Amino acid sequence: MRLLLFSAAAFGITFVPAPNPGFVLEHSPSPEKYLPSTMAGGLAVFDFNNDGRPDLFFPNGAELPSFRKTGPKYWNRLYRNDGDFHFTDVTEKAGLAGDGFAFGAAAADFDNDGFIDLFVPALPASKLYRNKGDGTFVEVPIPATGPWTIAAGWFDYDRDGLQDLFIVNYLNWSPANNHWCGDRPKNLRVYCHPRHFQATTNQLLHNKGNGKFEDVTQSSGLAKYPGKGMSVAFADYDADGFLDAFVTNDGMPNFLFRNKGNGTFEENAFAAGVALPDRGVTISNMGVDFRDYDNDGRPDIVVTALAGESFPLFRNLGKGQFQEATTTARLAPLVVRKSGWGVVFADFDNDGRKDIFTANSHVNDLVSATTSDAYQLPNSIFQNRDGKTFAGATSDSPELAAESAAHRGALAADLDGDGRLDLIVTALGAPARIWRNTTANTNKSTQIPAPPNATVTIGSQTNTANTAVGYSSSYAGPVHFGFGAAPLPPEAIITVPGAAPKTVAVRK
Amino acid sequence: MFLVLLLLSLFRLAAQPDGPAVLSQQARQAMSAGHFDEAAQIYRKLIVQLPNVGGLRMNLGLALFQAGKHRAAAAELETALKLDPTLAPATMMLGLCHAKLGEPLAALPLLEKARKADPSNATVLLELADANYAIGRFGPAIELFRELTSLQPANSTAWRGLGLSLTDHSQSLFARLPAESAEALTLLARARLAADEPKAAFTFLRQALTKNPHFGPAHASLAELYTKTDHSDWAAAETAKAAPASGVFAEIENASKEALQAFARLSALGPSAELHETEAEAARARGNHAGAIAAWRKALALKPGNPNLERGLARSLLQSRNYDEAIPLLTKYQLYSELGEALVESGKPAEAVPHLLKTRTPAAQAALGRAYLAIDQPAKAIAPLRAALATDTDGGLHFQLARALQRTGAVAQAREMDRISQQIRQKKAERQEAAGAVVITPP
Repeated sequence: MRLLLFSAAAFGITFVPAPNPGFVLEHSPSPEKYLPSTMAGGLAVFDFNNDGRPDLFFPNGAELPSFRKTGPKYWNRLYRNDGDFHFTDVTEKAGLAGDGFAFGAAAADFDNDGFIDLFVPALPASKLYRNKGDGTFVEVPIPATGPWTIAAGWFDYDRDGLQDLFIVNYLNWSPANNHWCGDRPKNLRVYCHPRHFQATTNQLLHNKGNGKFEDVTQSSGLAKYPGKGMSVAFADYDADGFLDAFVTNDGMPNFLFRNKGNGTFEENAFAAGVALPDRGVTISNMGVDFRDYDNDGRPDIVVTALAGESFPLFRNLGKGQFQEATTTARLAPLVVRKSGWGVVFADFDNDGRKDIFTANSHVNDLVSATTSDAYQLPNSIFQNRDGKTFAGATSDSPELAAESAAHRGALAADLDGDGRLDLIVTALGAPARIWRNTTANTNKSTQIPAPPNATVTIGSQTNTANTAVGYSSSYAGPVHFGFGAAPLPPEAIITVPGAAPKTVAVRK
Repeated sequence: MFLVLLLLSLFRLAAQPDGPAVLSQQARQAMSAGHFDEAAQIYRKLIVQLPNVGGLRMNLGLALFQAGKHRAAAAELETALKLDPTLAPATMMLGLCHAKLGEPLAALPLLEKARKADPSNATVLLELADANYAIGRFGPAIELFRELTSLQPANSTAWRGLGLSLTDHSQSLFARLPAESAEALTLLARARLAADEPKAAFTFLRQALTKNPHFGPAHASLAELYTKTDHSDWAAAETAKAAPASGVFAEIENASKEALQAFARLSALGPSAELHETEAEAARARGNHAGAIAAWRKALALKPGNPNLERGLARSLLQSRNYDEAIPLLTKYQLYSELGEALVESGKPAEAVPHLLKTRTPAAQAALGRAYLAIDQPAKAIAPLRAALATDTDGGLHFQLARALQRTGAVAQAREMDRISQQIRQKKAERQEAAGAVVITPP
């Protein structure tokens, strides 16, 4: 028994709750089952004041169906990280309280002034905020997005050195077409399935510089592909030097927009093998992360979905081809009854292999009335054992394993600078949670600052500065690496598509 | 002289401690005490001494029947009837044995004969009704269940049997209607209306009235739909065109109504395993698997260990993705297709393969293909997936086959499967979109 306890402590991944910053996600649930109510919960982690500590931004809901933030409880919130898990609410000073019902965030320095800016997808209108560098933000006009922008991500698709904005639009819902869905005889009203609403196209806003954006949805080819987007993630999956975009679609096949390098995209998900899981049926694709989990240098894809659909893991085989590896990676039995939203590949135990964290909950708050599935769920940690397979590691963190909620967004970031990645998780109608990584080992780690979506290679490991992560969430911070007990390699290579690789020293 | 010798010999046998009279007495006592296995052993001893006495074989059959050994009982009862074809109870018991063994065709003539001998025997009536129902003779089943419900108005099994027979009878009549006839389309509309899906009902009624603009029941249904959707003025116009149903349409409607009445009577009797079983089936049909599971559990509380109920529970647990509970029950009842499916769905495809290889149903073949694909054995996935392709309703099987073909290098075939898969998916999406876009318009 002693040996077992020692073993768990030595090799497990452990998290304990840290003090909450104080944010509560207001989503305005009501008997009318307005669809936005169950779709809130993205977040952003970025260092808005360049003090070296990652700060937290939580988009928030609003009254429904008016979409009005009628009081401070609905404000979006920016929390300054003062260190040691102390956070100060600086929303008012920053001017980020916002308006409308916000769903997520996309953070990146779009004007190259050295300060990270913020796009907030929201109904009825999304907002772009420029970080003035003095702790305040100012709204920047952009072309109209929608009808329902739910997520977004920054990437420099045309390699002109300016971050462009990929807008993920969900579907054609409005309070006026909020159908009654459910079981009338039992008077069980549920959130409508996306099939009840028309698909919409995603959008691409080209950054022209000087704070101007142009909607190039038509000319880029994106307009040809109506979908029901939930999240986006970027990576150069075919290693052609141009960033591609993977978009999860709710109840439809996913999109993989291959960047043709000439300002246009072709939708390639079926050919690449990532449109559907191997079972061949459409699922409720939710969040996504797009990174190399098996250390073969190629970015892989993990997607969250609803109970019974599993969380498909698509392994990048090279030559533009993926193969679903959910079962062979031993994830399938661990996830089959889970419903997930936020998802991140991250090396929580600093052993040099990326683990998986998922923020769990069903979309339907009445799901247990008709199935054996639960609405509120605990989150999950899957430990990458050998670069190929995963094992459940949630129970190593008893408090995390015991906390069921309507979880939505999730990000990993080293909030206290101890070299271990902590977790920030949102939940509908509940305080945002910070989980402090207490994994007990002496494994080494480092963080490499890198431009958005740059690929960083250290030794045999590759990680990417993904700006769009999980469910409608965004991380704009240094890229994390763990090394186990091995000495830190001396240098890292940073590759930005279209630029010569740059070698930097690894910080001890 | 010979008779005298025989009688003397029988007398001597009977007087012995293990003679027929003593054994016979012991057997009767064992039967009375409910020790059926013991009774059967004693009857076997008796039969050794008196092998050609039909009555003894019948008694042995009865003991075995009571002990739940229906196959062995049937063999003894058959022998009894060969020895003495006039043994009416043996005929009845043999009929019941075949019924219990799930052999309704063999049971039917025997039970009919038994019924002639004893028309008021409720057990025979019930088994005869069940046997008729089992082979799809719904008309006779309905008559027998009606008779039984008059004989025993508090018999929940009888009311459930009547409801099921009437339901299946109406469905069999419906199946005989031309698929695109006004009658069939109106009946489909009525089912949708009952399920509170007015848009789908409206679509069917429009189609029905296109086929036959003067079909009175379609107008009556449309009037009902308009009333339900708050268009009373439109409803009035349709009511004027409505006419009562006749012919097969009326027969179907009447059977459905009587079925509902039978289920209502079952419900009025209060909680019973039959009531909960019916509730479970209804919940399952509506896709309410949690409700079905709750109802199966209630039924099982009243009839613990009942195989039919446990099988029903197992299937609902599977549909509800409660694999941990479903798998032991599916294993117990050797439901290999469902067991394999449960193992595949719960992420254990390698464990599923041996079970799925035991059955050849399209569902099992589909699951087998999926299992092989998941464990990265695409070559083995191809044959079972091809065998199941005809059942592909959402494009999934074609997609899986495409993946298997692609991974074995058959790229052109894979592309073709992908094309068909996308076509199926597209058509399904279009149907769903069309259904959602329906607007209920005036007459």
